[in-house]
Amino acid sequence: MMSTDPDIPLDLHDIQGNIIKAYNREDYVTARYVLYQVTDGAKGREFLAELLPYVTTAAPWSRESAVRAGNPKPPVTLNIAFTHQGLEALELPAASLLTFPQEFVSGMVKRREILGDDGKSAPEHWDPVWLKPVHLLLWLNGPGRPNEHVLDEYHGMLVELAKKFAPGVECLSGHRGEDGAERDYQSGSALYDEDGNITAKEHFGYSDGISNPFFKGTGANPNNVIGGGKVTRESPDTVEGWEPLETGEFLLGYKDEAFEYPEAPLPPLLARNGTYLVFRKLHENVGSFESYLDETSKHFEGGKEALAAKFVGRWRNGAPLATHPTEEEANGLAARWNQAYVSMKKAEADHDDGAYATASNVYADVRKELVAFDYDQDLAGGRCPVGAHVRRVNPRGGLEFGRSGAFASRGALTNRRRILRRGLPYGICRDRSRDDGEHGNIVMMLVASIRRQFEFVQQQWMNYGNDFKLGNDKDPLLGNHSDDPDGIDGRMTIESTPGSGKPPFLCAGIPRFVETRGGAYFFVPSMTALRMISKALVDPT
Amino acid sequence: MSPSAESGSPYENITEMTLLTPIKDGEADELAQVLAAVQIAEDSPIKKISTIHYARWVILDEGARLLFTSNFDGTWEKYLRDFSEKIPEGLDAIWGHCVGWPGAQPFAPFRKWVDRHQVPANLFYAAYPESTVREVQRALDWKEKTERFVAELAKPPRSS
Repeated sequence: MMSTDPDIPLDLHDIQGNIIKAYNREDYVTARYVLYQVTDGAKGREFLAELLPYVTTAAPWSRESAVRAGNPKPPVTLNIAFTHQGLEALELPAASLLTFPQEFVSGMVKRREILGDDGKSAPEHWDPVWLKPVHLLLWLNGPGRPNEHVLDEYHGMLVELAKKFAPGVECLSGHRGEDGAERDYQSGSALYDEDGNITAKEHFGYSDGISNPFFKGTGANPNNVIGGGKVTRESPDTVEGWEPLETGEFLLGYKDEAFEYPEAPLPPLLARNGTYLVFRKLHENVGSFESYLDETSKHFEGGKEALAAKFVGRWRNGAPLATHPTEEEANGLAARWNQAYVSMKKAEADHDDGAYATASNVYADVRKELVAFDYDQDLAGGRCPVGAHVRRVNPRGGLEFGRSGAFASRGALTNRRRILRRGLPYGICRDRSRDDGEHGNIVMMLVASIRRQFEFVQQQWMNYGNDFKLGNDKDPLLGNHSDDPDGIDGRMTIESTPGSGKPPFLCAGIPRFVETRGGAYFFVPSMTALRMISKALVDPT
Repeated sequence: MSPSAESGSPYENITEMTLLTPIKDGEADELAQVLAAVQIAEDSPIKKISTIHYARWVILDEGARLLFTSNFDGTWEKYLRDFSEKIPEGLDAIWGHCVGWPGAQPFAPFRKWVDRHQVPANLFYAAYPESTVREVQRALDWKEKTERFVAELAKPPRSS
């Protein structure tokens, strides 16, 4: 094995927030996403300079109980990202603009064929704002109930501030709202349960965002490498079973898994500590989803919940099928998970540091059970189908198909395809028997290479099945299944338990459950680079 | 040991062939046009040879030489006879631009010319050496029909 970068701590003050750590895990459960067009470069840079003091970094916040000087938690976070057109509008030198990767320059709309954004997912059906000249994305994350008004206030301040720079900097309108009206921002919010508690659910009812890559230099608890790092040949429920991914898979300016620095724009200072953001607004056809499950599960052993679990590879409560194949086991884990979370939050609210430390450890242990697995004990897919969503997007060494040692490393085909996932649900599903309405997921994916990570996973693993020996089968939940009622698209094989003598269960006619409603490719610069851009100091020579 | 033209494969049912032939002076462009026309023709004569898995023609060395590689079912001898008997005009149209081309017919001089220009492979790998093109095509046909059959059985009732 070649040596790579030592695990040196990253300069968290230079990296924008929500990259190293997800905001929604820190109670920032509401969001607003605002898009701007810059028609006057100088004004755009002034606007940027004015925003700089408010931009949230990745530096850890002091907990409320810790009164020592530090980095207090802001009521609302602010972050900034640019499209390539946006960087051009801000008058970055051409010599620098030319050094960005082609897919970022092209943008999401032009990559539609690669992404499978066809039919109802085609850009002509997107929220109109995404077809306008999107230059800047500002996003605010704030508290949930009952303090949502705080986000509203900060957003109001941003609107006022931006007005000072008009004309020259224009907020773009055309985010489709619930009433069909075109708004000048996209909102996002975690979903609440019937008792008003925040959940990690999306509109189909699955707990989302459980697994995220673990990489070098973040200062996170080293035990979290379990389930988040790259697989070794040791047991997946031990720390030895995983290694942190190289930083360069997620941040520019650091070595990546190929022992080289990721393709990055010039000058190096513009790129370092920056990353790319893939923003997708994905509508969820809840009516189609529920009715497909209802109809198809009539003949499926285990019923509706089991079928829903087979689609994703996790039960809707989050428990992985690979280690929790029965609903009873899954419910047990989910209950313990919830209990541990409640205890931890209570200790935090009580400012009881001792209890918080204990509760955090318990929570970490339970959480480990949600992520500490691979598919080596389930090669045939009898528990988690080979074509299930989570097994596709993160095969965890499964692409060796049990031929241990087939590749130089167990994750050779996986380690370069990992994606940091952020974002929140949007809208409220008011009628679960219908597809229309404004509800879905704001998916934010952070990668060092849009092409190698996001686009590859989208094209090869979600909308194709060859790497899993599944021919043309697509991701059952997120695949762009054809609308042709006579077609044979929309298939999934749910493998039976080996030796059970039972045939596999075959799903067919799966409709398109998820439709793209907008999105773009953004560059998320470091704090240093933001300053450079705002002062027109980017000099690639 | 001099390379024998007929020992081009470690596999029983699949054979490889690599030919490197000099192009006549100044005829490379014309040859390129012939090949381009074959590529886009719907009734490409290559399809008449139902044993070819993959084939390629590459003009090398700034028009000096033509590389031809092919992987095919059956024996070397049968393959050449197929070519010679089924699509002699096609062969003449291409290799007629090469030095010393005797014509696809009669067979003996054609065979001798091919033998002389053949380059032995140092390594030949086939992922499915037991399956012929016809078997692959038949399997694909079955696969498509099976998938359609399964889809009809497994689809939930169509909601309107």
